[in-house]
Amino acid sequence: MSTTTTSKKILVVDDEEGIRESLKLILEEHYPLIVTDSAEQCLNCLANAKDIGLVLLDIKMPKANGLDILKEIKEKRPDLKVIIITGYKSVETATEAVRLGASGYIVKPFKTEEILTVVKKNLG
Amino acid sequence: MSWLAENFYFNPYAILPFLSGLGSFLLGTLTLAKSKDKTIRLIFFYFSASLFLWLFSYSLIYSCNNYSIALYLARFGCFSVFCACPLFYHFTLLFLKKNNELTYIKILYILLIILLPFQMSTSISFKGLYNYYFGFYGKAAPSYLIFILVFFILCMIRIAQLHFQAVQSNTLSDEKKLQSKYFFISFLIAWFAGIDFLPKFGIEIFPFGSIFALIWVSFTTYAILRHQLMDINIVIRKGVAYSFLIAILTVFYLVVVLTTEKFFQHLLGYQSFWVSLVYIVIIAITFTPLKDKIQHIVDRIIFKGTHEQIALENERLRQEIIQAEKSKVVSTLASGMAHEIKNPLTAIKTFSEHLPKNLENPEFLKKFSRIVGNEVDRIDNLVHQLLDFAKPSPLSLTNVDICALLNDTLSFLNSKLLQNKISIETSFTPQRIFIQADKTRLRQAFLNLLLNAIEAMPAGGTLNIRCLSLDSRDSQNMQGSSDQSRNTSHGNNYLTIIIADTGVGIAKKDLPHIFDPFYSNKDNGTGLGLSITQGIIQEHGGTITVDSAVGVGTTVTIIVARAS
Repeated sequence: MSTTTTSKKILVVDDEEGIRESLKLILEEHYPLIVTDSAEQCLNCLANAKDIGLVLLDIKMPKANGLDILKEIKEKRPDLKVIIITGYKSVETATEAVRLGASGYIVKPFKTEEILTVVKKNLG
Repeated sequence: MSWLAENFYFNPYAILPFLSGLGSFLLGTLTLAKSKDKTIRLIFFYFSASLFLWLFSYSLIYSCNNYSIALYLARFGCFSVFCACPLFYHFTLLFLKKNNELTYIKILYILLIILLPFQMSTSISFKGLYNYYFGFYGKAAPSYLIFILVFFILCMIRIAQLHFQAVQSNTLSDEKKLQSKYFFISFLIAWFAGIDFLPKFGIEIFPFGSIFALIWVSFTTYAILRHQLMDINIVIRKGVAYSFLIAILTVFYLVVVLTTEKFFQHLLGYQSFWVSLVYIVIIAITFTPLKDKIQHIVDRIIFKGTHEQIALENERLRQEIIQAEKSKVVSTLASGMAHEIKNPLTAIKTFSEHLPKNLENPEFLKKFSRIVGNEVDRIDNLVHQLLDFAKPSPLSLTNVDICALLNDTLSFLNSKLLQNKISIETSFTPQRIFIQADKTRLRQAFLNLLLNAIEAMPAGGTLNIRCLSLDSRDSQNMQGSSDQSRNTSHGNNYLTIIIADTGVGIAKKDLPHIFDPFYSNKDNGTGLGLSITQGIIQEHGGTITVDSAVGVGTTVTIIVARAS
């Protein structure tokens, strides 16, 4: 496993096991990860772990709207970068996400290179 | 009173500006009466009041035979026009929500207050009066040109902004754009009121700009009060129709007044101011009710159409609504599908990309097999559900013993019930009840509902299932608080199946959507289960309703007709 130069962790938030495993497969070789499957766990992690540098957040989860979680993250940690992951690309959602402070937007299904490029750009 | 009689006389040319002014004032009052607490309507009222003062002053000027008084009135009327300009500007600022420019308005108002004594006591605006065939009229001083220039520039800026807002804006709602369109057109019409400036420069034409002022106020009032209800084109057509008919009415009044005036002059031997005043009061009192009557007739005859046309139009609108609803469902389905399919596709894609470099990695291969396999099954399941939802197979109807089917389905779920520590309470009618149904599909519907109930009670609870035979009266008494409509036209033999749990319940905000396709709050739900269940029940001619409270539980009530 190649080591990463950054000490910042990436927080992955997605209710789908397939997506979580896919992101783990792409990123764990390069970055330390925390993987959660709910908004509640995500907010708990952010409260407890201060070394999170980037959040990859699914926009559509059963019990919570990703944009609401984004808003809450930005309120608690305005400096934290958040990338939205969605299966349905729309101008309205993209605009709203950017307005709420998202640093980027990834559409599913994504490519390995795409994820690595976005993460490198936002985390270093 | 003799002072009035000495200095004023009845001049028929005074009627038009008087009526226009009165109309403006009444419209402004009506707008204010509708909603006193909106600043924009207050400013519009003040604007209408300034128009009234302008036009009323001019009606008095035409009726005045004293030069000094007429000059004083001309200056006052001119000052009212000066007031109308910043009030119009203020009105458009509020409408366009340009609050940062409101400071300029305060400056304009302060300038007006400073201007007032000069306006009334010097020849800053009028250096005298013309004596035209219709009466005295102000003679513009050179400085008056400055006012006209400022007035037109301000108007042009505002009209351009309204046009932009009405036509080109991408951020405004359709309602706001429509309102902008109204104002833009009404202010364009108002430009013609500027014809009243021409006689001030020695051009002897009757200043009929007051008519356009009245049309302007009418349009704007309509836009403020009723713009949500009508299309701009209908308003323009109505406005033109009303204006034309009211103009005819005004001319009719003029003719009546002139004729009877001549008659009284002949009878009495002199022109009586009081007779003229009585006429003005009668016209003022009768004008508005007559105008309303004309409006009513225009609405009924010209714009409403025959009953057949109305019925056809209603049917066309109903079809449009149905099409719009269908499009909405298709759009919801498409976006839901996109999300549901893209998730498994993402996992399959990512694992496939990494397969070549992990062929010797047993841990990866194990995960690959599990994840990819699950996701393919998911897609397969989704396709089946979609097919079920979109094009259900034809029903294979037989006589089905409902209570037996429910018991069978419960037996099938025994292990889940035990696992979740859920106790069962059943209450079935003693006699066997049959309905004409497709056993397989009905079982699918019950399975969906029972699984939902079990999943709502992860830490245990009670599942209550009742099967009742009802007549039509009992069925009507079963109307609950949910939004779904009930079909109570089942005749006299109903079967009611009630499935109630003591689970987590459904939030009030979610209840109206639970039958929407792809609407789900569950971790592993596609959101099609209840949509399909509802479809199955409806295929059998029945109804399904849901009542729920968070923390209390959910009750599903199904009503179907019994087999004869």
